[in-house]
Amino acid sequence: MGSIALHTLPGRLARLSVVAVIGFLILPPLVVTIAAFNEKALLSFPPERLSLRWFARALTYEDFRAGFWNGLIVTLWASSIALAIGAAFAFALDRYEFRLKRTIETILLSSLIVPHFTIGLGFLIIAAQIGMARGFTVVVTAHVILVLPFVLRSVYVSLRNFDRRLEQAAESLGAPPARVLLTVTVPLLLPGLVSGWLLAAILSFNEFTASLFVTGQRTQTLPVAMYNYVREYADPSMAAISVLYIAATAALLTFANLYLGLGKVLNVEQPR
Amino acid sequence: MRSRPFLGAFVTPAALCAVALVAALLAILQYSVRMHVPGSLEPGDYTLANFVALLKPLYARVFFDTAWICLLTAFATLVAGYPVAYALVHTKRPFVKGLILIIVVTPLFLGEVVRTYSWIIVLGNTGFINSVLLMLGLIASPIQLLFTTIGVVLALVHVTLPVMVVMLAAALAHIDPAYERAAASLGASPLRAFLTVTLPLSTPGILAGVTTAFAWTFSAFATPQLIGGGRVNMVSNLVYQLGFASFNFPFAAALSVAGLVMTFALLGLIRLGTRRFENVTQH
Amino acid sequence: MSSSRASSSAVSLNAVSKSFGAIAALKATSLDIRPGELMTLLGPSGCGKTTLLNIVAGFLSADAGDVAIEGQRVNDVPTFQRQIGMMFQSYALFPHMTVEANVGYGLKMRGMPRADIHRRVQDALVLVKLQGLEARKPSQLSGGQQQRIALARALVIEPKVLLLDEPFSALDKSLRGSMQIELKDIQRKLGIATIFVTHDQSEALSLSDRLAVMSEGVIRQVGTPHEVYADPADRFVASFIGDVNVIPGVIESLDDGRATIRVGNGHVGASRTHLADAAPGTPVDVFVRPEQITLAAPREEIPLTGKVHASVFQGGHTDVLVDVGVEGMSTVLVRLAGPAHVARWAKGAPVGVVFAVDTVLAFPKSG
Repeated sequence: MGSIALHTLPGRLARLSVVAVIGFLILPPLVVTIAAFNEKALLSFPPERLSLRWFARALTYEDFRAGFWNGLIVTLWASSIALAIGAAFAFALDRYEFRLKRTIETILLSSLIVPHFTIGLGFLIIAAQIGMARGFTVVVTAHVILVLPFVLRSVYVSLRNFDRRLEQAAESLGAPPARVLLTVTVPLLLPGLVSGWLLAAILSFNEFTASLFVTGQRTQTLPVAMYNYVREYADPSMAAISVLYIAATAALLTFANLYLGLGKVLNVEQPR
Repeated sequence: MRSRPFLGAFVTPAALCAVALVAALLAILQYSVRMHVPGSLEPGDYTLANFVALLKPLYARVFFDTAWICLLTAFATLVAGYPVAYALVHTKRPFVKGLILIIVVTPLFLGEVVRTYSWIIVLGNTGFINSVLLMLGLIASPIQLLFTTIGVVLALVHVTLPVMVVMLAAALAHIDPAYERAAASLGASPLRAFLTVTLPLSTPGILAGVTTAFAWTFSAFATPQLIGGGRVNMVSNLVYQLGFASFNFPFAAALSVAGLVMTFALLGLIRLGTRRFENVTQH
Repeated sequence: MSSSRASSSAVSLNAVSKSFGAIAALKATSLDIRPGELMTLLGPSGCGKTTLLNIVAGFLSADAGDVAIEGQRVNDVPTFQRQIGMMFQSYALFPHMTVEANVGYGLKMRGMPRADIHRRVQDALVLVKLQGLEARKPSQLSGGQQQRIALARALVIEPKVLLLDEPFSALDKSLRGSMQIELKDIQRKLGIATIFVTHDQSEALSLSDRLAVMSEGVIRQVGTPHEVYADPADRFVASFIGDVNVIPGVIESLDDGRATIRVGNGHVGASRTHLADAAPGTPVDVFVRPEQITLAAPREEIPLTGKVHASVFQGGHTDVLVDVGVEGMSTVLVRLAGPAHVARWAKGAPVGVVFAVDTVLAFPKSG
């Protein structure tokens, strides 16, 4: 274990606090899961009888279904566009000096700090000003800007760890720049690109606040549909869909950890 | 200079995104100094009335509450997150590492609505905590947890904890373990070694974590909206109300601008404070 | 592959310079590499040797001056059109490709048909004695095998010049020697002009046809290993190549080609090459290699006397460090062939240092 020995008092306290925090983190999803199987329409603990009826209702509820498909459309477009734009820009950031380099980078990264409701409101106003309907274009644009910093970071970290001599070797063997990019750089950056895309997709699919501002009835994504449901109904359908959500996310992340090394993606591995 | 292949093609799209973001912020800035025309979505003449209105006690109060909730959340997240980050970096067993990582990171990707909803079930009058306490006979009637500042902060800590842990762990992972061993070889107890070596060296991570936790909390909307239930209001809720209930976009824009200014001012103060602290510890 | 231009240079650098910000990495440097020769760029880190190699490869462009490969100016030719073969310090084998794909990569870039690529790759693998590993990934190979693959990959495209960037630095010492011999054999067999960058002087001495000794962005001397070792152009080259003792002395007399220098209580002769303007009485530094001196019992007319500081058994020879009471130097290193000296020159024994050759190198005292 860690450098602080565990048999000492501080060590024990540290371990205890870790366990407590982990418990704090998993308590809500755990409670939701139990609630989802409650047969009664009102939330109560512990459930008296178990049932799957809320899962059935969640899966057939029209707003959830529409929200899911809308969300999927937005997510696929937004994460793919963000990947292309972010990876290309990360490459330029890593390799070149150019005018406004730091300015563009700072602006793009600022979407991490600027509140989502501000960004949502801004795009809503723009759309209104140029007389644009609240269609997918606005939603996707807002999402691209919100997830771009994550793609940028993921690809940039991979590029930093990339041995440039591999590109030089390809060049010395007669490969022109475009072929170096396609045969050496992109294949070797693939894990970083995939994890960047995955990160962007998960974040986009879950984005709520900005979406609340820029989606309309027709483009409402799943989190927005869920929010509206919570405001109107109190039955455990929402718990059921939350459970599906939690399971899908945990599965995706476990996959990411196994095949891509989540620790590396998040930069929390100790360098050897 | 060697040639720079693909430069234009690689930078232009990103530059366009930056332009779009700046345009959105400028649109807000522009609306914030326009008059609200009741019944119309089009703003009227230029005016500073929106910002003057912000000074009313009703709105000033919301700003004060928001700042307080953000600071409380950021601090609580730091205290709760540090041991977890330390354990994550230093555990030798890959299984434990993977488990902590998944448990910590999953909420990060769950989205605000699902997380907030699960806290409603935990905190509600017939929710998990009250049911358990009632069952154990520790309380006679349910205690009010929903619609309180404590409830909102608890849920917000849950929202910001993952990103705090990830940022702290990134900082801790890049501290050479040889430093702690060196301190130990010089006679420092493990605790002293941690307090005098590792903790100061992780300051950049602490700074990054606190900054991000603060910004995320400020950005939160669903949590204060649903758990606060109108009784705990943050700037985000006010902006939404003004925009979508009263269609007063100019005032919503002014609130956003003021919110941005406050965020950057507080983040600047935190940075300033840390720099002073760093200067002190270097002597 | 014709030898009609045998008289011209394989690579020629004409007044090439390069700065990084305020730092002049390379100062107006000229160098010709003859067809088929192995030219080593030798010097400490930061001397400009890698900058020079990168300019030839096209990874850096020169601020001024011309680079030509086989008589053709290549300043504005990008790397991928220069027809070079390069071996990198850590080999830079593509980790996502098999051995076969790695070696065949350059041929594929040249649009060669698949069958021809396969045949040429086989030939190249025979050349480096590594058949049967075509399907492996680089990570499944040992360090020595990786190096052979890197060499095969660089050679299979029949480059006009082979560039080697410290190719042995990642190998175990035991493997290094045999790989060096093998590389030299292949290079000679193919007759390919080669530029070899290293900071290891013994590697440079054993491999090179000629070497260029560099420091601070300047080529100090170009010559065969023997020339550079026996007749160094200046103090830097003399002290960088091989071990050397620097002993203070004074010019006593001068005649046509020789100077007689007083060292301690004795004398030694030196060539006047580096003492052209010196007059009798000028203080000089005598540069003498450890194998150019020997030990004797202390006597009156012996140049230097002192006590043995340490005797170190080195297998084939013995290094004896002698404390001498001369201002400006503390110990003299003496290298004695054969193993029997440790007992005879024990620590603390009084001893005299004698010149074993009658001509040594001398430079005017610096500064």
